Order: sequence, then C-alpha cells, then structure tokens
Amino acid sequence: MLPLLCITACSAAVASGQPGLTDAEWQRDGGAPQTSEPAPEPDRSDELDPAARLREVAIAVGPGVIVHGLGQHRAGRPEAARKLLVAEAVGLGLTAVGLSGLALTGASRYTVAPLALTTMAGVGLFATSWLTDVYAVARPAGSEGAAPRFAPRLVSEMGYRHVADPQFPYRHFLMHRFELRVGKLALEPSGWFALDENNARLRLAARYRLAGATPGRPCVDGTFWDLELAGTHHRYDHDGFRIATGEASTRVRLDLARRHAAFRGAFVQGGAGFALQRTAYDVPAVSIPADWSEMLLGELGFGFYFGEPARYDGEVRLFYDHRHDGYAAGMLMPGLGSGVIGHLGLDAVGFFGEQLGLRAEAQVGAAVVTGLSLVVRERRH
Amino acid sequence: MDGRTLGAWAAAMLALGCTRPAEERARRDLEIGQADVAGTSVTVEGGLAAIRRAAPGELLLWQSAPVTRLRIVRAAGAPDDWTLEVRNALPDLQLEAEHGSAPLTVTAVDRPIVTHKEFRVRLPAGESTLSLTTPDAAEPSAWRFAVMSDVQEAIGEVQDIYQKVNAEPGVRFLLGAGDLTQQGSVSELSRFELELRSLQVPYYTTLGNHELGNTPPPYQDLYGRGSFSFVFREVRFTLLDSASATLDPLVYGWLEGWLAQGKGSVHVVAMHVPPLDPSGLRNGGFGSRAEAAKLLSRLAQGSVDLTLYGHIHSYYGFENAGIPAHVSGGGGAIPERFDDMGRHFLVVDVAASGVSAVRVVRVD
Repeated sequence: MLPLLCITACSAAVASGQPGLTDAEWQRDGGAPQTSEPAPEPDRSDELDPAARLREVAIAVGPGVIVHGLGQHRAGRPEAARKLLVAEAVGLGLTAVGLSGLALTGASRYTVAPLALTTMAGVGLFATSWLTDVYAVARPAGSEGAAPRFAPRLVSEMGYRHVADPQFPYRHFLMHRFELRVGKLALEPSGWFALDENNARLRLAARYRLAGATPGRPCVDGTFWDLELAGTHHRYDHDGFRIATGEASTRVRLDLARRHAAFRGAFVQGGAGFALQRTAYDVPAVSIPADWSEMLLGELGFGFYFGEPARYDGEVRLFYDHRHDGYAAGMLMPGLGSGVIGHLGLDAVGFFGEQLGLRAEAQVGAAVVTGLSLVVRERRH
Repeated sequence: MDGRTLGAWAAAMLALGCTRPAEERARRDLEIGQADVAGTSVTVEGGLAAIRRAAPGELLLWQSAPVTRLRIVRAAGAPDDWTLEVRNALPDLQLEAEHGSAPLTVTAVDRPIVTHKEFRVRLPAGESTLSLTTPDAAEPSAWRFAVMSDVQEAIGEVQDIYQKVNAEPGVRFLLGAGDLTQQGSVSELSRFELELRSLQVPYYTTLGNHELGNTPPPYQDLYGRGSFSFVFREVRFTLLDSASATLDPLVYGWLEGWLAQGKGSVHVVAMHVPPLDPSGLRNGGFGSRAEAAKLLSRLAQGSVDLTLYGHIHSYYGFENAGIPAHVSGGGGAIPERFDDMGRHFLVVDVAASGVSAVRVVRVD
C-alpha cells in the first residue's frame, strides 16, 4: 500500500495547489499567477561567482550523492537542503522496505506488486532528490524555465525513430501522434510504423485530468494529475505474433517550486498502473491458444523546463519506465539482475515560438530507441 | 543545463544498457569440448562435454549429456595410450572406440563414485572416434527423468533432495535449469560438484543468473555449454542459456537447427529464466515481452512438447503458446511465500511417443 499512499500524497499535493484559472482570471491577474506556497528564494552569494557555483555543483555531485542537499547547504539554503535530505531518507526507507519485503516473501505473486512499487517509489525519490540538488545549484540564477501553464487543444507530432534491437530486424520507424483535448478529457491516438519490416504499434489513450491545466483554463504551473485508459495493438508479422494490451494508470507531475523556490523550473513525474496483455500467435497450420499476462506499470522521472513562453520554451525529462513491452522493453545487463527492471529514457521537447517544436528522445532497455520529431501545437489565443 | 551536459547524460544512460549480455557466453559455448594437446586434437561433438583437463595421454571430461561422441586425431609422435576419465556419467556408461571401421580395445576401470567412469584405450595415429553411450541409448520405450533447479544458498541441505531423487525408481538422470550456486564462483561450483557425489544419476544442466556473479563466469569451464541439445532414447532435449533474461541471437540460430532436428520426435526444452512469468506483475521472465513471444512462437512452430523453467522459487504448471510448461525452482533457494510449496523436484515420464506425466515430488 505504501506506493499507493505515495501517489495519493503526491496527488493530494497536486490537487491542493492553486486550481486552474479561467482565461478571464488569467487576464485579470496580469498573466502572471503565483504559486501559493514557495518562499522567496534567498540571496545567493555565488550569483556573480561562477567558481563558487562550480564548487556547489561539485559538492552536490560528489558527496551530495550520499547526503542529498549538500549543494543547497553550501549555497546557503538550509531549508531547501533539509527538504532534500528528508526526501532522501524517505526514499531510502521505502527502498529498504520494498527490497526486504521482496526478499522475505521470495517475491511472492501475492505481494510482489505493492512491494515492487514501493521499491520503485523509494529509488525514484532517492534519485530525484539528488538530481534536484544538482539542478538547483547547476543552473545559473534566474535561468530557470517557465512551466507550461496552458494545455493546447491540439498537438500533432510526426517523426523518425531508430530502434536498435538485436532480436528483431527492424530499425527505421515513422511515428505519428495526435492529441485532442476537450475540457478535462484528452484523446491520444499514436502509431509507430516500421519502414523496413512488417511491424506496427498502434495505441489509443484516453485521459481525464483531475488537476492541472486544461484548454481555456490555465494553471499556475505545470503540475497535473491524470487518469489514463489505453489500448495498444502491436503486430510482429515477421515473427508470427501480435500483442494486445489494455491498461489503466494514473500519472502525476509536481512542479518542485511548490516545495521550495530554489527548485523553481524543476519537476518530478510519476505514475502507476496495471496492464493486461494478450499474445496471439500466427503459426502456419497450427492453432495455438493465446497467452494472457499481467504487467505492472510504474514510471518515475525528473525534469526541468527551459526558455520562456512565446519565444522558445520546452522541457527535458529523465525517466525510468517499468514497462517490459514496447520497443525499449526491460533493461538487460551483465550479471545477476538482468531483465527485472524496465527501461531508462531521456525526453526533450522544445518549441520555437508558439506552435512549432522539436522532440528528441532516447530509451535504453532491451533495445536502444532514439528519435527526433516535429511537434505542432495549437497557438495560444 | 547546456547541450554538452545533456549529451553526457545521454551517453551515461546508453552505457548502462547492454542489449546482448549473453553474447560472450554464447561465443564461449562454441569453444567447449575442444582441446589440442601434444600433437593430438580432441573434439566433443556438439560441445556435449567440457574438457576439464587435457594432458598427453589423459583426458578428463564433464558430460553435459548422456551420450557423447569424441573425435580424436593423434599425430604420429604423440602418446598412444590414453586414459579417459568421465564425470557426470550414467552409471552404465560404456566407451566404444573405432579407428576407421576397426574397433579398438577399451578397458573400463572401476571408480568408487557411480557417476565417475574411467576408460583406457590405445589410439593409433590418425583419426579415431570414441562413443560414450549406454545400452538403452536408442530404446524408444518409456522411461523417466527428474528436474531440479535453484539450489543457490541451500547447498548445505541439497542432500535431502538427492536422497529423494535416488529413491525414485527408474530415473535415468536429473535435468537442471540453473542457479546451482549463489554467485557462481569457482569455490561454489566446486562445492556443488562435491555434493553431487551422492547423487546416483548424472545432473545435466544449464546455468542460471546466479552463476553470473563473477566475470567472466567460470561455469562453462567446469560444466560445459549453456546452450546445447542432445537425444536420448529418441527424445530430444534442448537446454538454453536464458540466464540474462534473453537468448543471444547466436543461440536463436542454433535453436533453429535443433528445432528442425527435433521436429519428428518428442522435444523437451529447458532454460532458467522463463520467457513469461506466470505471474506477470512480478515479471520474473524475459526483459522483453516481445522477445518472449518470439521465442515461444518458434518453440510452438518447432512442435516442442514440454518446456521446463527455473528462476521462480515455487512450482507453476501452465501453458505457454499451447506448450505444457512447468516452473520448478524448488532446490532450496529462498522460497516464494504463501504458496505452501517449498523444496521439490519434478519427475517426468516420457517415451518416444510423448510425455505421459509430470509429477511434483515434495522434499520437506
């Protein structure tokens, strides 16, 4: 239950933040709503001293990996340091509870899901508290990006993906994604189509936004809380099988400026869910019953915004995704632990002006996925 | 964050992953069962035995299969009297030796351990063929074997299991799906062999992820190939190295041949990590669900009759791609709780006509 409590707590934090604003309220507030909580950022003695900042970064990266928040402490922000240290301690605690639970139960089928999610939450909290410390001392003061306060009604993305998987002959893909938002509902059909092989992955996701920006109703920051239902159909015609997946999940993003002003521009994102998969086999002259299997969904990431709206803006996100399907799938490693964990990814999207943007992504699992695409979003009125 | 920092992050992330962690082991498989010593070359067909020691006039083999053929080419000046010590052998193992079509005289030497055999043979210069076989090797009638995996840290109590296996009538050998040890070190693997001395039948096994704790893993030097295939009593057995939650593409190439060869006969396939964990939320299966489906599709196409797995410390009977499947990780490693299973092994009744029964034998 611990991971569910974490998600609930995070969701509560999301929901308790300043609610979305109507366009009229946005105009009345002069287009610059403030978050409700953050304290003003203390003066930084190193703002004009790059060498001092370099020392802070070195401390955050070096000893700071053991004691999170050392970078903030060095920068003269003890409250920010304390929050990161607490997050680290909670992360380590959750990790210890999850791992020891898995060991004691022999990864029992009856308890593995909550224990695995607890471990993921713990490792995620540990990693993001460290990355937050590094980010907050590494970025020059005043260089933080602005969070996207608007949710466009329409987003379309088309691009190229390269999949280097030693198990399958495909390499080159055309991908297309389309997102339509109506109020709190969003519909997102997407497809990956191999250009050199009979392989295609079609997905339709429907989301309901419980908190955060929606079209015509901007929010104070990029924080959101979504519920998602999705279906995926993945054809491997060359290898004689198809995988159909139905899933339900929830995803939360929390802008870290809500926790402390020093973290402005950074965010954490996490999610959890459940999927059911049906693998059907196309073997000539043989009738084979399909295999059914469940899959635990879990996602954790740290990211930051860059730029300023209407000129150039975007975000970068480093994430862990527990999925073992799709093109990246689960990570393979030398040694004892291969196959257990999901894949790592880096996702960067940047807009040049209000409409046009580029997305670059990389994922490393059983395969290495890289790609670049053009993104078009609805212009803000 | 500038572009260079992002680039460094991306490079570090890429370095974490490894899409072919089993490649080196697959390549080492190809070197198993070959030796050159004092002008004599020795080749074990199919790599079905590890050559542990090769000295002038002396060979020590660890068998991975009940029936093994060796090709020995002796140069004119090399020793002609050879002693062949065979470990992990069937108790009724025989050596038949030929030089061209002429049979060679073989002397069997008694050894105190029933699965250890010793033969002496005089090899003329040139190529000789040595067949390690049993009187029933080609019989199509019903027989049985046992299956046991995942001993790991419970090596101290493994004798309980061996006693029960020894007590099972008619079991010809024990088949293993890996995790013999906790880390796969030489000392752990040696301890495993020491404990095997009380087992009255040989133990043919592949390796598990717990044999990968040392780099490079010493498993193959001592116990032979991770992926191999053999036929005994008209039943084909294929053991695959899935210890890294994947099969290396090289192994898929070999598997294609083994499936084609086994198409007309009963075919049993065993590996450590199952392609799909019967409890999908745990995902104790392959790292990639797509690769799991690819493998199962091929096994189904190859008309495989039975799949046997380890890795999960309990017992599950199910079907994958319509093939009967059994996960049996009852060798004593930390058991899966709340399922009341504990230590166990399987007894499989098989004949040239098919697999007739798979029975769970509890140890505790």
